[in-house]
Amino acid sequence: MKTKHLVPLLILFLSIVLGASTLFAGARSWELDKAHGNIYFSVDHIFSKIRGKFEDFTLALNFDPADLAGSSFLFTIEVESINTGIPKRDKHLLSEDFFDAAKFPQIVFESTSITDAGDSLYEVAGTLTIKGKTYDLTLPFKLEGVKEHPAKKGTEVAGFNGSIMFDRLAHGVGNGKFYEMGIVGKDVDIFVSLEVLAEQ
Amino acid sequence: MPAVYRVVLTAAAVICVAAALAIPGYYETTTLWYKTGVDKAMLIAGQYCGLTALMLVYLQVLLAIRGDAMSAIFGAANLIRYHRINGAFVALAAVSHALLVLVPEGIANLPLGKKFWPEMVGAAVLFFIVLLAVSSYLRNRLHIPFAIWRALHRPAGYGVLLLATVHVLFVSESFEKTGPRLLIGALFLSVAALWGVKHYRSVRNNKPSSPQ
Repeated sequence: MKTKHLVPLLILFLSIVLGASTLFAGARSWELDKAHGNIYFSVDHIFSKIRGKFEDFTLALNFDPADLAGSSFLFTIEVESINTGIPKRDKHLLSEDFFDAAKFPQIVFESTSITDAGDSLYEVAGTLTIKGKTYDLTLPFKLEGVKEHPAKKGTEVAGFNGSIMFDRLAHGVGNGKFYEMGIVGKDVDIFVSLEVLAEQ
Repeated sequence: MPAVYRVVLTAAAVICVAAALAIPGYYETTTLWYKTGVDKAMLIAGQYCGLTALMLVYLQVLLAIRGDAMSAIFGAANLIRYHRINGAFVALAAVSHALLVLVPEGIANLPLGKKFWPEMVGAAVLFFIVLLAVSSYLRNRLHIPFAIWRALHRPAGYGVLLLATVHVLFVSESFEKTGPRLLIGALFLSVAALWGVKHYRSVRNNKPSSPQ
């Protein structure tokens, strides 16, 4: 191939790459601030509330209020990272009685559509894969705001908070034994609180 | 007269073991509340095996120390023989304990990581107990020179004594209560004190402790 053909070919190649990236760019990409991103839960134990969290999860987030069709949430939670403050209880939660983490080490939520419910509330509909089965689930997230990060110039921070009531037995987390014994409730309050970062 | 002492010392050992074995029943761990059927039975059996293993480790060290009084009462040769037999029971009880407490939680759901440090200490203890037992019973077949074997066997044995006590005191909430802590602590300190006295005398007399 002669050198004179290289330049137009290179221009064509770059045009295709740049054009494609523009076409499939989607909404703005955000990175999870792990120190300020939390998935908490609370469940009844006879009379008390037991609180815990998943300490290890990732979030692939593309979000732009002006481009909800191109926005998406993908949570991947490492079940092993569950922490209720008592290691023995965590180990029990990881056992076959609840999450069976050895067989099903991850919980995945992948959005399929996002709708603006008004007043900064976004209904994030998607699929939840837990213990090998997939369920439809909608997470309501309130966009708390977007602004320049007070501690890091040139970086924007956005905040989302959302909570749902999750029927663990309807999603295979436990066989109902402890619920029937009146020990562990079936409805779990889940509260997701996120700060995400992007370059300005 | 030694026969009377033999009976008294054996009775004292049995009382100590019985007192230790009463702990899981009297100070029930909350883990048992969430187990039913076979799993519960296995976990209870596992707790008894674990405490039996600890008591036998204490006994094992007493037999290894072979104090002058013990030798006079039981005979040094007998103490060595009991030490060998007891070693097999320690290994059996420790392995049974590990299997019986781990199976109900799921073998694939092992307590690994920093937050399960008492269980990890227990795993180390189990490893050393099995290593001590196997290396002792197969020493000749493995052609391990006696001096090397003893140089490793002794510190590993005392390590097991310490780590097994730490494991038991911190692995279960039964031992967060004063009574069980005092009992295990007193037994450990008694064994450690006897070892200290024997070791001090051996050093003072400039001869190795527990000559074979």
